[in-house]
Amino acid sequence: MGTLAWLRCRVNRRKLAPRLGAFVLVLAVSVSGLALSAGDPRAQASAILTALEKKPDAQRLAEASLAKAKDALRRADQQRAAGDQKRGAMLEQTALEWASASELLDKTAQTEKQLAELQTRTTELETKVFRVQALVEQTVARRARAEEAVRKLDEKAVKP
Amino acid sequence: MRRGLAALLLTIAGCATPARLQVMTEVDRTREGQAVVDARKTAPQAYARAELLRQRAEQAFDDKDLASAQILSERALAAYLRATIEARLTRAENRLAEARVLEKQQAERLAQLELEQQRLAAEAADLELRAKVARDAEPLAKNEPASPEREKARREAARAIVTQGSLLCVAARLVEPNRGPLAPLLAKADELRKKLDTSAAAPIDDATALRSDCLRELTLARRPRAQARPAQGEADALLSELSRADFLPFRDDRGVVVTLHAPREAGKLSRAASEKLAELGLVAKAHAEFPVLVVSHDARVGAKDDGLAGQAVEALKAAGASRIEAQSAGSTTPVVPPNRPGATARNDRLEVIFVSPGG
Repeated sequence: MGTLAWLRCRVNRRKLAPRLGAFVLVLAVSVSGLALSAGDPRAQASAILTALEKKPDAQRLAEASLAKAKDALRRADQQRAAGDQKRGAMLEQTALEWASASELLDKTAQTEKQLAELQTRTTELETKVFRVQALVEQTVARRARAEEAVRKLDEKAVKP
Repeated sequence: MRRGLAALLLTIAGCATPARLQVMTEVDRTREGQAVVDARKTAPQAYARAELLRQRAEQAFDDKDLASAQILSERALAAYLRATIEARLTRAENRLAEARVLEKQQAERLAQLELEQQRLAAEAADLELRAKVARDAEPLAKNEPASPEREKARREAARAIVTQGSLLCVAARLVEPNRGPLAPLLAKADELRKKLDTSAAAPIDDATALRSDCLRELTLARRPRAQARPAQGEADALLSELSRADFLPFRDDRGVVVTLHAPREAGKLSRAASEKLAELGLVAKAHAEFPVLVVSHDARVGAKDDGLAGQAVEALKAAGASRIEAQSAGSTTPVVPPNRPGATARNDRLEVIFVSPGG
């Protein structure tokens, strides 16, 4: 404790206390909000569906699983309306499962597209490498011919 | 008796196992599919999760909670699908990583090869030029006096050779302005020109020797830069740039040459030539390492310097070019013999030479 004496005298605890309190409150609200949305399968499924609705490619690609997610959410509403909260929650989890599968499918398709583009570029590079390699071989031969010509001319120049 | 039988039937019906749900059969079928079998190895966690959901569905079914079994089976079905997609994604990501490594390797290999090619091409060009200089320096058989017709042809050839030689010397001077042997060589060129205007025998051997000496001087002037930067390929790059701009350039001993036809209009620089020169001036400005030599050629036999090359130099300077020199070749180096049809259009020209500073 003795070693922190220099710090104690520089910190104004009275001023710091309200600021710290506000910060803790904001943090608590944010964390609880996150925790709520993270733990709420309905909210998560709806968020994924909303995000995928903005992507026409994803809509087309994951049409079946997206339809199943929406159907599960609709049935969950019905169950909850009928008072069956347990099965309502189960159906919401099922909806999240289908929505997550759709999201993953979209991500996979994008990765596969990137892969195809990269493979095309690599093939083009391979072709260029092959061509330049051939050119280098031709130039090596050209240089050898020129070297030989210079050598012969030098020899000729030395001879009387 | 009847009552007893009815009670027994009700008891049996109550204990009977319900029919297996359709979705559960679908889960079983999906689970046996090749994609899920593959996912078991590639995405084990996702697969285990799907298995757990299936087991919970089976448990609910055994507990005769058919509604829960239905929902859990649907969820298991989605989880199996997710496992197969995860496996597909893992495979794609692995291949993507491999492809990135391969692309990087190929790009590095290409860059290495291109550098090697430039270096080799520069070395080969240098050796070829050395061979050319050595060949030109070989002693020639002395030309003996010939018939008047032959002598006339020899005189024309000597004029052309002197022009070529002096242009090579001027190019060397542009590369290395203070090169010692150039001044005597250029003086010799003037002397030969004067001699060619007299009735004395055409100095063809001296003209050839001059050209050979000037070529050697140009090669020597370039050597320090060529040796310092063997893989530079500057002239190739400039040639490509001018080709892309439709200037139809070509290379000769002096450097990269652009020919402008029909350069004269009422004794002055034509408008079309001025426009082209403005564009070439920008190129010269962008490639300041290349000094520029402008040579005017006149189709009129015996024509002397009419100042066209000087006007062209002004046009190039106006566009931002520096290190320029003007020379007039008159009618000494026609492209085609002057008596051929269409010779005027081809022989009347302006050459803009971007003198290669390093071979």
